[in-house]
Amino acid sequence: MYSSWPAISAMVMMVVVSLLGTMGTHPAAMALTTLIGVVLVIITIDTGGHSMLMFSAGFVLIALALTIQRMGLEGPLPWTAAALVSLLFADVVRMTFAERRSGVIESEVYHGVFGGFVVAAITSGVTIGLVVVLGSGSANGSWLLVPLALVLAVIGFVGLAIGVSKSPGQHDKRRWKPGERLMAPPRSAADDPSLNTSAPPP
Amino acid sequence: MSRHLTYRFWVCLVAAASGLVGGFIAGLDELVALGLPFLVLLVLSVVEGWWPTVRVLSAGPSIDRAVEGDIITLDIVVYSPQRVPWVEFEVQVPTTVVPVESLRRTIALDGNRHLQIPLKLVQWGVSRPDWLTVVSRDRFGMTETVQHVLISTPIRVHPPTEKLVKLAPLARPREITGDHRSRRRGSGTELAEIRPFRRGDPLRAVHPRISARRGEPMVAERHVEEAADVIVYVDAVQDIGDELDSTLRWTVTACMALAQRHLRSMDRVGIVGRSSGVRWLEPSLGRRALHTIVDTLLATTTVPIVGIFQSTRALDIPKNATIMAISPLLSAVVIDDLIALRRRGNEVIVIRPDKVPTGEVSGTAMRIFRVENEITRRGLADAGVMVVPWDPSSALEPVIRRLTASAPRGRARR
Repeated sequence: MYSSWPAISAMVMMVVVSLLGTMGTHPAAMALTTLIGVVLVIITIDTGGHSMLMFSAGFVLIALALTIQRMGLEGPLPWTAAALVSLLFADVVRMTFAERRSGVIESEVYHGVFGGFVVAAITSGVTIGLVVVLGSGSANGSWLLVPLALVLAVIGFVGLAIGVSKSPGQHDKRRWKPGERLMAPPRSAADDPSLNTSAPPP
Repeated sequence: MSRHLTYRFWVCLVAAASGLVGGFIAGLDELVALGLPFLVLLVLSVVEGWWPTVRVLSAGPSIDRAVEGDIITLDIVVYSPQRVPWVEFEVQVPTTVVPVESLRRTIALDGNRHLQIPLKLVQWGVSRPDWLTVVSRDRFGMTETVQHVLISTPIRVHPPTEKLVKLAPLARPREITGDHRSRRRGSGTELAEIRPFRRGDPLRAVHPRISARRGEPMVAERHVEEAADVIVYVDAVQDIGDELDSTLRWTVTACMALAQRHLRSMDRVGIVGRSSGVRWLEPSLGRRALHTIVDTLLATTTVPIVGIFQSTRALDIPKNATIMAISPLLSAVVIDDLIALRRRGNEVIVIRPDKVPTGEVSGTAMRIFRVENEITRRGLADAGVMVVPWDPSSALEPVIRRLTASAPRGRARR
């Protein structure tokens, strides 16, 4: 599980952003921060917990924020890039979850997920570029925030209206081995009998 | 089926809201820029569609009967009207089934798809993969749909059984043609003796060639071939040992071989399965009986049987039936049963697996075990029950031959 390319990529990304964020500080601080970052990634991959995934991605974002501040980068584009890198990190770790319990992932899944990320990155880049270009020409560059906030409100309302039935991601966290009955659903929990096997009952 | 909004959705929502609202209030474009990608992700996921539909059309094993060690496939047919970029399949299997490849697969689905997951059947009995869990997600991981599909088709896994040649000696055959040679003379195939023609013999009984050689009418007498009733007694009171080297497995394997052999010889075969209760299958004949007996033996476990006979006294066992018991004779219940059956007048033969189950046993315990075994054997012998030892690691055929050879002269045997 730790030798697959998504796991190695996630650890490499964490090491790079940790070093970038603490560059110029005491070597002990750099080493400790990097070590904590890698441990976070390992724990996330080992447990398969989505909450740990969010925590690790937040660690990446904080490290990138420190990098932006330390390098004195100005403007909104570096911040958009930082958010995109943390989202990419989260997607890479998501792939490791699918490899748990000897899972096999087809290549089309990778194409779909990372293709979606590329679309999101391009859209974000174009949007923030428009915000920068259009905002720089007016006294108050925040006029675009209003329609964006409205869009957000609509999405939030839809999400809340639909609701969440239970805490997600439980099946990713399972440490199930063949033969064990960990978190096995009861027989009465079979969904929609019409979806069950068409073979006649014994 | 349950639908979820994932952690990822809520984090994106909070991050986008914080970035945009915070940037609007503080007047910082940097905060807006930080929240923007999260908002874009949410918008794109809504545009693509949430909770993509995946239907499991069928899920079941490729065959319903196999032999221990066989590799079968679990066939899953799924369908989706639109493209679903992330669909996870995970199969839960019992300990009697071992995966050959991964039990968990993630695919991209568009239209119909037929998946095959190879499984190895490592232990006899009735097995089946239990559950199939299907999780479908949108591309950005904002939503997921979880389905649990029950796989209800069982697989009957046969232990590799020996094909017996010899039949067990039976004391009282039935008046039906079979493979057992009777002491009676009549129209059979096996030669009993050649004697001179006597008054009362039918003319067609005269053997022309022998008569021509001897110069007087000679008759070739043959043994009558008869069938019999055989009751196979299965000791399922305990199962001691490892999974593939246990007393119950030896018992069921031997019972299956005996039942199959005797059914081939036109004998009627019945089953008495003893655990905490008694399971009774009346003696019957033919292919249907063979399937019923094999299925009953495959389903034999030490799990308590509820709702049927509690003792063998209530069973309607034919008086002329021979009872073949395969038992390590470790349970007093079984020994009492066998003695009771003998006292009813049935011939009882016990084939005892003569192998000590694995495990560390002290010398004293072993000596006590052997003394108890000897006491049991003598007690059964006094009651008229024949006990024959059998090493389960070797074939059953020599034991049957020994039984046949030791049967009294004239007893039906082949």
